[in-house]
Amino acid sequence: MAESTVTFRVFRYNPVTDEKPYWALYPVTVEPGDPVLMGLMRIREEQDGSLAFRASCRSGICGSDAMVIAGRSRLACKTQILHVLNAQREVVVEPLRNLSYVKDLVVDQTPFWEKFYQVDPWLHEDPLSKPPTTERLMQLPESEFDDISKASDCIFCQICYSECPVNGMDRAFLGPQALIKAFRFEADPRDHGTPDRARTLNNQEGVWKCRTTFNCTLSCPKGIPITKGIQALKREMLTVGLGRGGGV
Amino acid sequence: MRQRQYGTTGGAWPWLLQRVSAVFLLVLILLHLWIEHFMHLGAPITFASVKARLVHAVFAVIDYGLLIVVVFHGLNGLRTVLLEIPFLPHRSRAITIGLWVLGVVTVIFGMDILAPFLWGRPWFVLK
Amino acid sequence: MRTEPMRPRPRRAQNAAATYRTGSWAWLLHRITGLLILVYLYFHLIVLSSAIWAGGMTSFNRTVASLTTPPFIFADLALFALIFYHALNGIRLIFLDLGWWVDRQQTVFWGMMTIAALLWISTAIVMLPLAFR
Repeated sequence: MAESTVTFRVFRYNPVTDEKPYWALYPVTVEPGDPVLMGLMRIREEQDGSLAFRASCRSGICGSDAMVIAGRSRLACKTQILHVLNAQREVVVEPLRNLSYVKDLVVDQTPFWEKFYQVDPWLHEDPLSKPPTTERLMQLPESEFDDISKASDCIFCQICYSECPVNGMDRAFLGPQALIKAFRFEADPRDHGTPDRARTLNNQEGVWKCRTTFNCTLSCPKGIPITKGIQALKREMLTVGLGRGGGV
Repeated sequence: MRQRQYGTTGGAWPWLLQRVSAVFLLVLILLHLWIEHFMHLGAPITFASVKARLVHAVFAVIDYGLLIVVVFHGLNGLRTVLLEIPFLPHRSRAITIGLWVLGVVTVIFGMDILAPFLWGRPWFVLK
Repeated sequence: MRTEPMRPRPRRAQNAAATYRTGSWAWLLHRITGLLILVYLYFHLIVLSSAIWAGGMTSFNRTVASLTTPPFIFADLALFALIFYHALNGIRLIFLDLGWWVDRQQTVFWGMMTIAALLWISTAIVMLPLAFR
């Protein structure tokens, strides 16, 4: 294994001591295959314990360590250092876009979660059905499962939210993640939540603000066809939005 | 857990009409460009030639239809752009009404241009 | 560890253009061409109406004749480019809204751009001789 030294160019900002953010450059010895997250952990352990970033499982499941690496939002644990070096053999690491940074690579996720809860992201029961008295199965036929299986893979990493240029312009836009979550339940035949979700989906800041730039689909680390789901939501919301009370 | 709601409900109609008008525009614009540029390629466009053409209802319908559809599509598109500018959306009603007024004025203005060909004089002359 | 100062940047977002890919550029261009065509529409209406208001038939003929001189033929070709881009990308957007070929949007985009280019080239072949006669 050929070891080599690269430079980590990291976005640093401490709200208590720093007036504005600055770049910190750390030399790190890496081997082929090392992910960016490992480099960051080495920096924190060996060079600077004050470096703040979110990370947990290190295997692309928890969705904690999304950050802007070499200009694109990616999972630090799924991105190999040697794949993202620039001409100066630097890895440029910054916090996610479209969310305000709090400290170093940590961003304030509040708007993201607020918007996620806006779409009522749970299975709504038929309001007319009686509460069950015995245990019941709520299985999906396999054919129906295929439609929502990809959309269920979301790990809340916020990469799509960070890459969406519409989110960058309009901070009220629900964003790709909330919309694909809404799709996951809207496409579920057991769900009866459409009237509740329509308020936020059939909304000027809901499905109608999506501009089909496909940034979300292209950047999603789980390969979820987000734009496709949002387009399906639009067609569904058309039947809601054109009717009475659709508004203008 | 219900937190504050972003944005105002609605938006399906402008979205749908933008697409419907786009389909009409595709046909009308192509016809318009064909008529003005290629149908009599090289022959000068004159008042008399336009007048002779507009006598036929088909051409008049194309021109009037194009005028209405293109103004709607253009201003509805402009509305979309304006509503994306940060801090403007809460004025969406004012923007929508303003653009409707502008659109109606523009269509009347455009029909006034077509009037001399059909009735010999514009409906109104400003000076 | 070394440090380097950073150029000032907004508190929330880094440079949005860094996120742009095919679909986002298509969207931005669609918007720019749309606005330019809207501006042209108003010029178009104002020029024609002022020609008629200025003196009816004769001034209309004079204005239209001056609009078919070479500089305006080149301007027309530029306008055609805007319209063809906006129209063909618009067809792609309608396909997307109908759910057609959403998985292959980049291919559809470049296919549409090829059609737009072919349309524009054939238009230029027909119109350019008028500028040089």
